[in-house]
Order: sequence, then C-alpha cells, then structure tokens
Amino acid sequence: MTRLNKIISMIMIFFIIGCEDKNEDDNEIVIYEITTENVSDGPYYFNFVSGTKDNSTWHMVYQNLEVSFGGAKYEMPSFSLHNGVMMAIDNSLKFEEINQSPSPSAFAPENGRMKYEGKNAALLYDMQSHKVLTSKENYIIYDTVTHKVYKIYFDEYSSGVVLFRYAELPGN
Amino acid sequence: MAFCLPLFANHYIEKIEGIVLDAETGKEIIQANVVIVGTDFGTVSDNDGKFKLENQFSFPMRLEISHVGYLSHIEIIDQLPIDNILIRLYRQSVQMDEVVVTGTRTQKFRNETPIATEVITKNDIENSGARNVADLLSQRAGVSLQTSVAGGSNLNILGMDSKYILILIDGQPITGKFNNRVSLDQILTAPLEKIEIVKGPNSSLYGSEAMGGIINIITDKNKNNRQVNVSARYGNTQNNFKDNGIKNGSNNLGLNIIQPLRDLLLDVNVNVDETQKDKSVQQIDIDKVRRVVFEADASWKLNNENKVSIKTSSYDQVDSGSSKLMNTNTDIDRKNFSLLHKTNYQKRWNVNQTIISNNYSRNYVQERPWGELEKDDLTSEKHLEYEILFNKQTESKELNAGLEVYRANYSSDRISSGEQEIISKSIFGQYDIKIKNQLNMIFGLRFDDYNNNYRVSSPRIGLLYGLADKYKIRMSWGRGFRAPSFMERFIDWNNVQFNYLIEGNPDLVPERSNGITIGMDYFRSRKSQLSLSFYSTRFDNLIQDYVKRPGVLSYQNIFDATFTGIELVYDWTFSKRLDSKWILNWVDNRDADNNPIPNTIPFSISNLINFNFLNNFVKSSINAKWVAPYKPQEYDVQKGIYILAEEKMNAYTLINIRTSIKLNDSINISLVLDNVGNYTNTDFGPFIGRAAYLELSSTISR
Repeated sequence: MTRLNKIISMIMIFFIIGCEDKNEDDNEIVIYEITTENVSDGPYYFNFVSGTKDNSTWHMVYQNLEVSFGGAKYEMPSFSLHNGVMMAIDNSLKFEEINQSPSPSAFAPENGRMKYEGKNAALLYDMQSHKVLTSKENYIIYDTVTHKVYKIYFDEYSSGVVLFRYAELPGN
Repeated sequence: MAFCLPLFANHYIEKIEGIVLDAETGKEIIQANVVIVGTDFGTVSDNDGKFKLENQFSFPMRLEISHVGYLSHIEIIDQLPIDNILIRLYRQSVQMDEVVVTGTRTQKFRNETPIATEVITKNDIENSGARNVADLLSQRAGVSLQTSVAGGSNLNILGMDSKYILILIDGQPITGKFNNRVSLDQILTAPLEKIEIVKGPNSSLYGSEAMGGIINIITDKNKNNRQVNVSARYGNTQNNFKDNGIKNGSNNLGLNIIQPLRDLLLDVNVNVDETQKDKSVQQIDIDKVRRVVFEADASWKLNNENKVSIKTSSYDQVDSGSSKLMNTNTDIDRKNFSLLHKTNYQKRWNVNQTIISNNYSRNYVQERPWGELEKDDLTSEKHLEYEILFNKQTESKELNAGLEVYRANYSSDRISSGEQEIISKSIFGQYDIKIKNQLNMIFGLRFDDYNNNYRVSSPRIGLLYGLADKYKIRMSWGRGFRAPSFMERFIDWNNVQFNYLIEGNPDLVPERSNGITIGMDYFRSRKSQLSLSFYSTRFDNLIQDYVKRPGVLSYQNIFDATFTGIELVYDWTFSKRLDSKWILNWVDNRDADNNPIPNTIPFSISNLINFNFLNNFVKSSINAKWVAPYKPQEYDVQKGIYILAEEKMNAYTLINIRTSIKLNDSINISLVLDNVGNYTNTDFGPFIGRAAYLELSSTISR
C-alpha cells in the first residue's frame, strides 16, 4: 500500500510539473539582447523576424545622420525604421511587463520620429554633459509584411555601439 | 623712601625656567617668544616647549610670552621659586587674529595685512564633515560645484571658472590639471590645517593663473610631539542604501604618525578613500573611485640658523566603471618631491630655497567586454622648479624678493606634435611699509618670461588703514594673468562623437586681468567681526573656442568680461559654547556686450553654527546654504555656443549637520548628515542627495 501511495504521488507530481511547464510556455516572452556594430563602420540593418543583421530584408537601421550644429555639419548616430514598419510608444508599463500588443489603432508610420532629433528619438545628445543617451521609451513596432509585433528598448550607447533588447509580442 | 624701594623690590637670582603649552591641547609650543617686559632680554622656547633665562633679575617682573596664532600672555613673577613656570597660551579663536600667509607670502596677522584673506580654519574643516576640498568649498556662499562630464569637478568661485583661480597646496601650484582645471575632489581634507582664500588678481606674487583669486590649501604642520592618529569613516547615500544596502558605501581610512627624533621631525600621513556606486560619480559612468594619498615630511634643524625640510607625497586615483558595452579605467598618478632650506643670513635676511619636482600622469583606457581596445590615452606632465625667496624685516618695513625658474614638459596622446616644453623665468619683489601703526602699504611687481614667447609684468598695490581700533579699511589693485595651457596651444584631437577636430593655437597670448578690491572690517568686540568687501575685475583676452572652419574648432583670445561682487562675512563668538559664521555673496558678471554670463549664481548665503555641550563632550555643527534662482548655461545648437538659459533654476537650500562625541581623551565618534533636505538636480547639481557618514578617530599622543 505504501509503495502504491508513493507511485501515485510521483505520478501526480510529474503531472503537476508537466502542467506548469505547459502554462509557462504559453505565456513566455523571450527577450533577446542585441549589440550593434560600431556606427562608424557603416549602417547596421536589423531584421527582427530572423533576429539577425540583414542588409537586404530589414526593419530597423542604425546609421550616422548628418546634422547641423553651429553652422557646421556633423554626423550623429541615429535609428530609423523601414517604411513597411509602423511604430507605437507604450510608457504605461515597464519594458519587461509589456506582454500584449497594443490595439492596431495605436500604430502609426514612424515618419522620422525615431531618428535623431525626432519626437521619439531613440538616441539623444545631452548638451550639458555632451553624452549620447538612450531613450527611456518602450517602442512597439508592427511589421506590415509578416504582421508580427515586437517591443524594443534601447539600453545603452557607448562609443558608437548600442545595446538594445527586443521581444515578439503575441498578436492582438 | 623712594631710595629704599629698590632695596625691597630687588631679588637677585640666576635663572628662570618654564614650559609653554597649548591651553587647549596641552601640547608644547616651540619657538614661543619669552621676553621680560621693558627690556630687550628674552629667549624662545625649544622643541619641548621649554625655555630658560639666565641673568640677574629684579622683582616684581612681567614676562611676556607670545607666539603667532596665540593670544599673548603676561606672567607676573613676584616670588620664588621660578624654575618651573607653566604658561598656557590660548589659540586665537576669532578669525580676525589668524595668521595668514597667502596674500604676502610671509606670515602676517590677518588684521594687519592689506590683502584681504578669508580663512577656513581646521575647526571649520572638521565641523563641515567634508571628505574633500571640493565638498568643503561647495558649502560656502559664492561657490558652486558641478561634476564634470570629463571627470572630477568644476568649481565656480565668486562667479568665476576655477581656471581663473590659482589653487595652491602649501603655497605651491598643483601639477596635473584636467581640462585646464584642478580637480579639487582629489584633495582630501584629513591632513589639512586650513584654507586661505584671497580675492582679486595676485600674479604679482604667484604668476600665472592668479587672475581672479587664490585658494591656498595648507596642510597641518603644527605637530611637534609624538602622535599617532587613526581614523575610519563609512558613508552612504540614501539612494545607494535603498538599492544596495550598506555594502556599496564609501570608506575612508587615515593614519598619521608624528615622531620627533632630537632635531629631526618625521610626519607620515596615509589616507585611503574609496567611493563605490556613488550617484555623483555615476554621472560619469564610474562605479568606483579609489584614492590613496601618502605624504612623508622630515624637518631637520641643523642649527639655530639653518633648517632643512624634505617632503614627498604621492597621489594615486583609480576610477573604474563597467557596463555591458564598455569597461573604463582611469589611473591618475601624482608624485611630488620638495627640498626646502631655510636660513638666516647674518641675522638680517631670511633666505628660503626650494627645489620642487612634480610628476603627473593620467591614463584613460576604454575596453569592450569582449576584449576590443577602444582607447588608451596617456597624458604626462613633468615639472621642475627652483625658487629662492629673500625676506628682511624691521619694525616698520619688510622686503620680500624672489626668483623662480620653472620647466614643464608635457606629452599627451591628444597632442600629435610630440612632447612640448615650457620654460619660464620669474623675478618678483614686494615692499611692505607700516606708518604709525595705522597705515600699512604694500607695493609688488613681478616679471614672467615664457620661453621668450611672451613676457608679462604684474604689479600690485595694497593699503590697510586702521581707524579708531574698530575699523580696518583695505584697498588693493593688481593685475593678473593666465598663460595659455599646453592643451590650448597644442591639442590636436578628434572628437569621435561629434566627429569634429580641435586644433590648438600656438600663437595664443596670456589672458589678463585688472582688478580692484575694497574692503572694511568692523570689530564690534573681540567676539565678533564684520567684513565687507567689494571686488571688480576686468578680464581681457580671455581664451575661447571658436569654429575655425566647418568641422574644425580652435582657440582664440577673443573674450572680455567684467566680474563684480560684494561679500559680507560675519564671525560671531557668542560664548565658548556657541559661535557662528555668515557669508552673503552677491555677484554680477557680464561680458563685453553687458550680457550676463551664464552659470553665475547672483546671490547666495551660507551659515555655519557650531555649539558644544557638556564641557566639549558633544560638539554639533549646522551648515546651511541658500542659493537664489539663477540662469544656467545651455547649448545653442544653431550658434554652436553656450548661452544663458531662458528659464531660471529655482532657489534651493542645502543643510548639513555634524555631531561629534568625545568618548575619552583620545577617541572621537562623529555622525554627519549631508544634504538633509535631499535636494538634487540631475542637470546642474548637486547630484548627491541625502547622505550620512559615521567616523571614528583615535589620537594617541605623548
């Protein structure tokens, strides 16, 4: 009887563990961390679907942008999205807590909002400290080709290289 | 009857012996003057504070004992025995009697020198609870401090950039500037005796950089008996404590050993200061700053006329930071050596000769976590200087003259033209004359010759007039200059971020200043003093960066400005238990077009209150500073220059509280609360919010 109890208990434990694993898999959003190449080496094109650098099929590009300061022109690092990608901003939650796509009406063409000096610029230049800073905003992008939605957060900029995180969000 | 008096009054004996002690600490006072009043007969106390007079004496007699920094004492001797007289001298507690050296390069009582000098005393330093000189000065009205993005801290004193203020340690300039400025957070307060602040141009004595004023940081040398001092401090900011607990605080360990060996005095000082994940340094992406200071000083009295001192010191600072994209490491190393010979020539001339050798290096390394080296910049400076000073004093006149020869070698990875050298030769003189104890005048002149590229002459005139014992009126006029720095002349550096080039300009000429200071001291009683000073300095040929051609910046002598200010300092000693100091500072700084200069704080007030209870068992200090609204600078993207911001920063108040408990004669425990109101401003500072420090110190002396 004792042995039978043990066997039943073990079967139940395995069953419970198995169920929990399945639930986790259902809700799990995998966050990927990407380190770009140095912007001075040329544009860096990124494909969120494949999760790789891809010069031909890409969703976001990191490159130097020519800007004017004090009558002279300089190159500043800047991000922008492909024309086929729409953008939304969600600052209501922390990046890690965002696990659902916003409503389709939240998305709008990027139209230069993400680039340097744009309304939602991913990289900012602090004129007091003379440092390039990353935005504190959560970017949500929608690929109109694959209909996939991704959240992006820019963590750090250092001497031409940017670290950002992204994750695919389940469709709405 | 008159003929009989001397017979009763006179007693002939052979000697008078005694000892002179500090009334507060009980330490022996050396070189105290002991004179029989009404005669020229006297002596000085020896290294043990003892004195002996041998002669034939008559009673009653009055013995006057005096020493700089102490109140003179008259001892009436009318009976035998007189072989063990104990004299206790009291330190001059009120600042008006402080001995100062900076304004004239000789020791003078503060209320007797025409050059107005403010003193931050050892007590003030201890009561401030400040770890380093930058923290200490920022508590004062008229001084603001910004953490530099380049590292260290930028000081703005009297509305002026700190590069126009000469910073000295024990009368000597500090080697190793970054971005043309001395980082005052690199100078720890633990070994300091006092800080003297002199306003106005003073290049007539000190040469380059004394354009707007001088800050002389003076280390404590008034130690004559065997002594060991150990101190340990732990501190933390509220933000760090919330995030990391006690493990990421800042620590300071200090050790000071004094050992007299007959005519030799050894003084060794070691201090280790470590700051981790402090919000102030996180501003520049640094996780940890470690500073190690070592100083050793040996003084040897060869005979009554000759004294030799050797001083060596080293400073090592390592800033390290890491992120997922970059590891940074800055190693700053400063080594100083000086040899000083003091002599008295035929009892008429005091002659001081000094050889100084300073080496400085700064190595900045950026390396990716995956091993890729991004930057490895090394800057090094070597300075060698010889100076000889002559001093002759009579009762009403004093002559100072000197000669300095200076060589500096500079190399940096930001200079493509290789190692650069500057040699300067300087000669200066100063004549001080006192007329009827009421009028004291100083005339000074200095010539500096830089590699024959340019020559600069800097005159100065000072005047002090005493009125009815209660008023002292001071006026001084002088010219100052600042020689262009190595970087301004020779830099050849590409800013990777903005992709622009900065080119030095070897044709730069010195920046000049021309300033007047007028002040009045009012002594209400021995317990209080009011000092009012007005200063106005015009700066010409200021060096400023400009766009030489698209993508290339350089430097030019193009900027003029006038800095004007009024300062009111009130010292008040209510009793032995309570004293306070108030400073009100008003500044109006304008460029040649009469536009206000950005970052000038127009009005600020600071107040320090010290009180003690239970016979010095508990000492407390409250330091408060109020800063009026002001317009900071902001970058004009279109013009490419810094301009006055449109919006004012709000007024703010900073309050620090320190309490110290004397557990016994040798052990003290102190608690410091900094920025009690937790005021921070992430753009302009202060960056550090509420913080607390706990310090334990022990002194064993014999």
